[in-house]
Amino acid sequence: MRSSAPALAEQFDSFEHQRESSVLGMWVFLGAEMIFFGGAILGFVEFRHAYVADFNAASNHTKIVLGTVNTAVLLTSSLFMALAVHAAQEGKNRRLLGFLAATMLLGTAFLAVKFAEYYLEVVEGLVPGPRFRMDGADSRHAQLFFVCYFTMTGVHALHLIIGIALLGFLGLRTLGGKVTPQNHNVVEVGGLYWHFVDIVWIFLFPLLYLLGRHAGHG
Amino acid sequence: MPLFVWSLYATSIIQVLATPAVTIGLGLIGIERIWKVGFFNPAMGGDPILFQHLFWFYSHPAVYVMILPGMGVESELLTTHARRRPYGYAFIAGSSLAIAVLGFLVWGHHMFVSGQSVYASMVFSFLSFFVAIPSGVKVFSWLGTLYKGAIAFTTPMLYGLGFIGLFTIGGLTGLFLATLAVDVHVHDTYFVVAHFHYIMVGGMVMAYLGAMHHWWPKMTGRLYPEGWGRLSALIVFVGFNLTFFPQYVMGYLGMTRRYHAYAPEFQVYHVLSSAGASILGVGYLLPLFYLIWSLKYGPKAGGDPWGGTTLEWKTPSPPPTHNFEEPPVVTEDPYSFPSLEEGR
Repeated sequence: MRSSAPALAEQFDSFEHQRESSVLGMWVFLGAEMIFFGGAILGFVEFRHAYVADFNAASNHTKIVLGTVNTAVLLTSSLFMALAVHAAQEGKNRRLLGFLAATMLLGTAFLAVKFAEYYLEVVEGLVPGPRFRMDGADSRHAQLFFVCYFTMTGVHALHLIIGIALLGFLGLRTLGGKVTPQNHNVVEVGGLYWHFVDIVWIFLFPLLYLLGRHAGHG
Repeated sequence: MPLFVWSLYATSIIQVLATPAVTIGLGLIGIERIWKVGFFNPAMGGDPILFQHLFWFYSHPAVYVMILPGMGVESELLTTHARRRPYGYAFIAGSSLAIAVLGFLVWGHHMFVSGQSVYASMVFSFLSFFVAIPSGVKVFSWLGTLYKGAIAFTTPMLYGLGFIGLFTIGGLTGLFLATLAVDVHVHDTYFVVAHFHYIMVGGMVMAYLGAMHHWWPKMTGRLYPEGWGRLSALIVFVGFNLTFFPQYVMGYLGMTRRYHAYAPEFQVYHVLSSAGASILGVGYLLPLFYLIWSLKYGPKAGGDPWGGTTLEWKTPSPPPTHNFEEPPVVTEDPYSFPSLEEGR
């Protein structure tokens, strides 16, 4: 095994110190991300409040089956991510690599399904623009729903792409022998990010897919 | 830990947590402009108040990003140049964090007349009064620090004293603006302009100039001419008050901001204000000359020209690349001034 000694950065007294600092740094970053997505969600909720009927009608055009499948896919990927962190803590680097690969695979599957959804929506003419029309609703307000939909899911997909690249980087670090039980915080921090992206979806899914349907039938 | 570091800690929290709100706001504006869909523009079905919320959620904390480092500097100036421990160290440090937290909860006080809910305005007004508490704690702690201190009227100290006076006036008039009924009267008038400048210029720029003079010898290894420094501090103080105090008066009398034309009865205040601005300009330009002059002709400063106790004064000026030849061992708190007790 290529066992280059785990690197303790110059500014830290101990591995414990280094680990706590990097975990704190990731939480601070996630706090900032929360405010970022929070702003977009605030906008969506406000417009939904203003144009309830149109937003409900537009929401019924989202692809609920694909969305539900994707929710399951992403939640399962988070399970594998948690297992990967556990494997890293125990120093089982083979299993760690396997779990990382599984997480990446599911993340990619999510993106594939998401882009299939986008394709269907493009074909149906749901993309905002001068030719956007929706029967049975004020087209302009329904269009606003799809602006929010594409913006929020698009930014989420971007985060997921970055996440997959991050996991690839973690895999390379593991292969290079840089991840040890003593110094596994890169995996832990990467895991935090992955779970965050998952949780953002847990908010987006009901807001965009479920709320309108429920209200529409109620 | 020096109080300046605490204030930077509070500033960093705000920067990290407030900026994403304006990021998403900018992103939405970009989408609105490029794809012509209405987020904020009412002509396209958007809501301008939503933009104001996203904007002020960032931009109110942003003013604390500007003033908090100034408050940290103030604590360093007063302790060093009065040779006193800070009065209520924990309170000064804690009030920085309290300002950072409360600063996130008051953005709606910029929107009292925007058409937001009256109940929201009431809550924002109430919370805005709350920010006055940590600010007041700071001012009284600084005064307590000066009490019985060996005050040396050096240039940094003069800027520090100016900061206390101007910041207090600016802070108190902030309370007027946080009061709902009064704000309807003075909203978008010169009163707001004067309030803002008493905090940002009277507070932050004074702190900036104070810090510049305080750490100049450390940065460059040279002393500036003290007489010229004091003169410029005095000119800045006088010029600033002459510029902005008349704006409180004319704002209260109804002079609105952002108009180049005004009723003839406001003429005298405008003339005073312009005259003050010219004096202020002289005060700002003076340091430019004598500080540059000092780079070549100023006497050598040595490691600790002020008798400071924090770590930066324990290394030569300007500091070597790695600050210290060997890592210093810290055995006492940053504000132990032995010389004061011995000197008595």
